[in-house]
Amino acid sequence: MSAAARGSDNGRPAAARDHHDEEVDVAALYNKRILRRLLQFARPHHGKLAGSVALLVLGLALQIAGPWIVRRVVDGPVQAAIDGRGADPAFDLTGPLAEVSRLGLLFALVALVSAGVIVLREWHMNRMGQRIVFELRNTLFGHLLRLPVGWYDRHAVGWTVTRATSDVDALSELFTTGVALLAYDMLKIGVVAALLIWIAPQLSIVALLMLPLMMIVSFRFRHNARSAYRATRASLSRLNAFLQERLSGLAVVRLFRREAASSRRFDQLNSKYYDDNMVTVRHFSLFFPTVDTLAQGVKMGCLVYASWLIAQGSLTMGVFIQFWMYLDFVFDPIRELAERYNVLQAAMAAAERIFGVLDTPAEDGSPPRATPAGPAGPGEPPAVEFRGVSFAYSKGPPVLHDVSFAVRRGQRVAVVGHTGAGKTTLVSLLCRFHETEQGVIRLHGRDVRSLPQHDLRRRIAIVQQDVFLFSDTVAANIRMGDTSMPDDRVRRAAEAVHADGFVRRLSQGYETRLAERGANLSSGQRQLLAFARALAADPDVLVLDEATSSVDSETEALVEDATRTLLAGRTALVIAHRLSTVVTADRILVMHKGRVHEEGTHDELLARRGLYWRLYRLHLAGSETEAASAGAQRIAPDAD
Amino acid sequence: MTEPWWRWSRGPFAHAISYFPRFRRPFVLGLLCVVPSAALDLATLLIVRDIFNGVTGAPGVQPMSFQGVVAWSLAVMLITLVKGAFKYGMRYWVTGASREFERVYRQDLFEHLMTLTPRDIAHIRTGDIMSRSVADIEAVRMFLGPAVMYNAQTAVVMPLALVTMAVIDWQLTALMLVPFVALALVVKVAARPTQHWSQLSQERLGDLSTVAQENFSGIRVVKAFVAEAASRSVFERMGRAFLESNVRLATVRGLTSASISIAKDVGTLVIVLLGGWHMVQGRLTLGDFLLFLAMLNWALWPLIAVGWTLGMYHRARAGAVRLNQLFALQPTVRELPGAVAPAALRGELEVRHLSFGWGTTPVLHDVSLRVPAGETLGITGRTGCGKSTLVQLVSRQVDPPPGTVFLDGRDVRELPLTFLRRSVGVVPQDSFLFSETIASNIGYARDEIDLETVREMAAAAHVDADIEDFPRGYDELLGERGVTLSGGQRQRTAIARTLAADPPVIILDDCLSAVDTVTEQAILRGLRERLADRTAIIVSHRVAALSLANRIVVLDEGAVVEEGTHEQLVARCGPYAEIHERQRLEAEIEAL
Repeated sequence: MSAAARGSDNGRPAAARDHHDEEVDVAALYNKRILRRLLQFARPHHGKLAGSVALLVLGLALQIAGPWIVRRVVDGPVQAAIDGRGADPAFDLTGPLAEVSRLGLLFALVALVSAGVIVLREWHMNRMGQRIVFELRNTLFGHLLRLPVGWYDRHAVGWTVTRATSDVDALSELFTTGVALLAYDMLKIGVVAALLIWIAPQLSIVALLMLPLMMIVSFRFRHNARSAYRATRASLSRLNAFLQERLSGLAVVRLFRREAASSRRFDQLNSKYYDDNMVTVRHFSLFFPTVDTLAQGVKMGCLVYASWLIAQGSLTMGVFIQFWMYLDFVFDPIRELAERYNVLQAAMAAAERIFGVLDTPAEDGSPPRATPAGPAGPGEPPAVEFRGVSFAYSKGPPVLHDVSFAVRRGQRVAVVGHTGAGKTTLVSLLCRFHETEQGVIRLHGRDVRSLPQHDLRRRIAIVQQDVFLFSDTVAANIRMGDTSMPDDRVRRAAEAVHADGFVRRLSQGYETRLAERGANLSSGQRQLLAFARALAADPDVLVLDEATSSVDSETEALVEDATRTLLAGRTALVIAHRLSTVVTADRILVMHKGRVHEEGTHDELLARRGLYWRLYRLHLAGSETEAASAGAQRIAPDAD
Repeated sequence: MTEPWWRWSRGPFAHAISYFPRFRRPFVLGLLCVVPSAALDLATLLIVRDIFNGVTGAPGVQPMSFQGVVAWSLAVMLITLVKGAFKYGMRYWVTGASREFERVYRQDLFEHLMTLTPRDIAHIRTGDIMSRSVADIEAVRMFLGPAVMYNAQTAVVMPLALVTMAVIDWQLTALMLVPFVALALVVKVAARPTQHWSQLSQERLGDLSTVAQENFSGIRVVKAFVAEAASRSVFERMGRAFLESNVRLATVRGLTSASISIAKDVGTLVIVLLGGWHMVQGRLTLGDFLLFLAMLNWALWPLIAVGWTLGMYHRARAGAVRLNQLFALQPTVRELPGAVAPAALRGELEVRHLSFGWGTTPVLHDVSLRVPAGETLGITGRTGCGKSTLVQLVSRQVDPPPGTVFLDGRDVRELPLTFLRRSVGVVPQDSFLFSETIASNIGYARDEIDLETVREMAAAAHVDADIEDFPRGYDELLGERGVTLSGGQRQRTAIARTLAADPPVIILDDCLSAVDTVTEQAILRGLRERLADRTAIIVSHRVAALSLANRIVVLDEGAVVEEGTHEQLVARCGPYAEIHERQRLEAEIEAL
């Protein structure tokens, strides 16, 4: 066997197929469509946009005025004084001095207004840019919340969060400074180049001939620096991924005594990062001296030519100084231009991803489907009805086969079965987190697909097996966004399910902020809060997916009693794990491998000695020694 | 600043600075380049001034011929080139040295982290360690590298500029100090609020991410309770707070950058007005006037750099403190000095009167076990009975109390760690795999392993067929961009990994929980062969796995409650017999 696989901590730098290269965005090409869409977000602010343009133009005009005043000083009073003194050593300097003062005053005025304009511009443009980004972020977040659950199943949460944060931030730079400064720099180069031609046409030829060279060098350098930077990001990302994994898997590293090997591999990655950085360092170390040398070349070329023109008498010293000062006005933006272009590119890449999300159809994007009502049965239609429902998650094996059952108003139906029997899928379909493929689900006789999403979900409250709490206050977690719900109702709901006691013991009662995912509460307490949440919502239909996680016996008693309260007199579909819930149900559905295997009351099903009977015995066996194996179903020893 | 720079060798930077002697050469070379590059800068400025004076024929100056202008201009270009070389050297050497520092420092940090146990770093979030390894080291590097360079530049340029200007026109120079000093003050004053708002901004971005992340993770709850609008309004509120701190930050930054332009304008104003007067009076030549304008640009940048350094100080200091905290962590499992590995290993494991607790919570009470060399012991018991803790102590992932755990009669605490890890192989409960190829995961324990062995181990763990089904087989990458293994596949790969290490003693810590019963049977049959001449401990909930063992121990609440062979225990009608009955029923249901 020739092929040799090597221990991962000691292997070559990862194979060619390395995802970190892809992670670093390949800068989106300049894209008019994206740019136009981005500008649409700026449209509501066109007044402010016009204001910033005005401030930019005004600022440019004031900047240009400076060297012009200097020229007036040199060619006016200074030249007059030199000429005057040359003719008569006792030349009266009062006039020229006063002229300098007047021009100085003018300069002071220009500088003052310019300062005002700059401060105003910084403040105004930032405000506007941040505002636009704020709105864009809200639009994006709002859209994300309207995407179907299936979309979330396909996208990692981290990826989605990055869209709403980092990507939007990349745009922030574009809107606050990027676009405006890019436009400003272009304008500045254009205007100043025109001025150079205007004030000294001959001299400007020397400068303008060399400008393209500078631009090329600048772009070339920034391009190289950019790709070097990208390489740096990729190797940093690889380094970080490695570090993160060794930290998460520290136990494994130590168990196999791979500390030294890990360090060797880390050294390789770390050195790669260093090498890539050094390429960047070299680029930058070279870039600045090169651009400076080029700029100096332009200036010296102009100086030589100007000295000849001055000797000829076809150029005044003042004009030359003005020209000389304007040259710097052109060099600075050229140095920055390529960088601004990079900002634009990064923003484009981010914008492309953001628009990708915004273009994903939202779940309520299509109007409710009109479906035939179907033959109405005699009397009141059942609260919940499944008719011939089959379902499979995208391309997966079928999870439900031809499931039919009904829950009448006020009835409580328990669903039992082993893991993978398809119980939780029933809930997902009822709430239309996923669309049924075959069969019909009806709520009070109406096809759920014909109901608007919000209507449907407002009528159903779910208690999920894996309780999800937000890092908000306890009250907010019970209210779940219904701000009109009075405090009183929040408290009564909590009281009814025995959550009030522990909530009151929290440092700020109902206003206590929970840790992420409610980590500062026990699993039993989290369940009770989820009960309170469902009770406060006061739904038509309650769906309860009982938790399998074990809690201490005291909490267990509370949870069991709370379950009783929650279900009292309610239409409910319960994915049951607690024997007391199962036994007291009006009807029991026994699911097995995606089908309704048995149906009936507890006594009927026991008498049948089928699957339910076996599950029940499994319960009793489990009551003594709790095994953690799949589908462990708890039973309280004192269950009724 | 909290402490003056000459005290840094004792402050939070002490540790970082202790690395610098290693990079003395490039660092000093780079700093040495600062002086000639500044001197040459000044030389070009002075030559240009002289050319100007020669061209305009200032009083007392020889008019310069056109040839003279050309010659001097060429000289300027030559000097510019040489100066460019020095500037290159300065940046390259100093930044390079700081990058080298970063590399070595980060390497040391990593190696230090690898000496710790997961428990030692449990109180620090992984993300936190990551950000220290990247952002904090970067902040310290920037502060001790480029910032030192810029300050050296300032230290050379400022006096040169001031003296030159003062020699030419001291009044003008004195007046020009006003905008310079004002700017330096503005930059220094702005450093604090910049730091404050940028930190606040970061925090609020963090809040925003948390809200986004929670809503996306809990999207089912949000949708089920039709709470989208409420979530949006929370997000908007957070976004508004973020917006506000951003605007504040941008305002402070904007004012700082505006003050640079303003300082420049005020400087120019001074030169135009006072310089204009002096030119009219014949005290200042045109060339000097231009020199002053150029000096404004030349001396302003180093001043800004000083302000920038001051702004960076707090960030770097906080970073250094956080890094020092990581370096201060002490490993809890350590090799005793002078620990000697025995020549041969029989593989007898013994636990004597082991009592242990995490903090104040007791977990194990007086547990005694003996596994003779080559035998297999099964351990079972309900969740939380102390099985995993026992495994961690026996394999010394956590230090057991002295005199409780013995390998071949020697306290495991007295054995060299490498020897112990090579002798006792553990398949951990959570089968953590690295996002590399499957082959390198299986060969993880070894420096080199041939594909044949990898295949053999995969076959022994019954994961070979699964792996060969992947498009790239054993070369398939695991993780986000590669294949995602099911829980069972992960567990079997982890078993293959431990088998590949070929340890004389092997502990299987409940490592088949995600495997279905049929596959489990197949794996167990394969393992029976592999375990034949090894000492083994099998921790499991499943009777089928335990039945492989010569003896079985049932733990409850940290104590041994039953012990015997499978047959003995089943006959006894105790807890083990109940588990047995239960699993028989489960199998029956599954078969329906």
